[in-house]
Amino acid sequence: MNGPLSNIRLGTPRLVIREFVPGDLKGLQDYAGRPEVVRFLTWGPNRPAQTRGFLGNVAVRREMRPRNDFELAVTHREEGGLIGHCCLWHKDREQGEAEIGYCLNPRYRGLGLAEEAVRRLTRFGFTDLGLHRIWATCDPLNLPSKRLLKRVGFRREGFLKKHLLIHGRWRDSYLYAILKDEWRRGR
Amino acid sequence: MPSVSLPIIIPDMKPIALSNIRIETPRLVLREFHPSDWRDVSAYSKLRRVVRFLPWGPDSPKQTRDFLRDMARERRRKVRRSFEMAVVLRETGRVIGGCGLRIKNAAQRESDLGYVLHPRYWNLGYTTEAARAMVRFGFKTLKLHRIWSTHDPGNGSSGRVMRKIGMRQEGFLRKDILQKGRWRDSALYAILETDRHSR
Repeated sequence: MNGPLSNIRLGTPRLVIREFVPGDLKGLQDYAGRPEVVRFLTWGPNRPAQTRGFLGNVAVRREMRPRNDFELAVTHREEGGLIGHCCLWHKDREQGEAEIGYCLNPRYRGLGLAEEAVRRLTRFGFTDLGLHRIWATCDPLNLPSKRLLKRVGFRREGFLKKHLLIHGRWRDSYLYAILKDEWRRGR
Repeated sequence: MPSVSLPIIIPDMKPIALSNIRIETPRLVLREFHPSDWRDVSAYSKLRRVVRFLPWGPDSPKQTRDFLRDMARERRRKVRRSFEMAVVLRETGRVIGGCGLRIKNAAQRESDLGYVLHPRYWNLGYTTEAARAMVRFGFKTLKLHRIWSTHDPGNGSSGRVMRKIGMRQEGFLRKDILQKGRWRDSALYAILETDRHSR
């Protein structure tokens, strides 16, 4: 990892995952405002003011010590623009455990870019943060997300009934997790 | 029916200003911990067989006093997230265990449930009585949507308590808790506000 925990920069062949900057507003709003993108997410569709609020909030939490929230911009290495974001929430330090989430601009779907980002974020969690376990939830109807988690090596551990309030309705979630050993073996 | 001293409706789950909770059941009273409870609490928190399946303990008297001090501090917080109650046996007035809810995700109105009991009182239904009252408090007063709990797969009695109070198993988490220096698995149970048992 380059630099301190307040300035994360993670590279992959096609992506650079980095801290958000105010200039990301446009690129973020480009997908955060679309209902089809946030269909399975607890937030959105965002008005520009909400996206601006999110960026302000992220900037504040980024400076917290210890830093528990890593909300990062996913940018295209060649094109340079923001194409999505991914998050790692380090909730329970003592238990060496974190939750991850991700969202991609649909224009870049189907290219394996979200998977590339999640793999890199997972590696960051295990090697740089020293995590022991990383988990994620996804809506049972969200096929691409389920497939992605499986490919990265996450295993399904549970079915949470009416787990999240999503656009006014309580929805079920699948719970997935990967352990450090499994991740090491899978590489 | 449990009675609560300060029933406050919290529609958006933000500030929870409940600082003096008291819940009554036929045989038990669930009330706030006091620093003077340390002898009663230490009587069980120091026992290896009590904490065998828990991530903490066995506690020294000092650790028990620190715990009670933390609980007193938590009560005074403007936004209270932790509701750890002393379980008092009505008959004797002594603290025989603890039972609590910790709000993990306020936006999603979600908390976990935990309990511990002095072994002298095991197998008499006290844990079930306390846990059931706590769950009802969570749904009725705290307006929670979902309460979950986990137990060590080797701790069958804890799983039985969860099933008796109407929780359902939703998952099996691999190596999710560091317990006595080892990663242990957890059985995950949950109950929803809409479940029959939650009323």
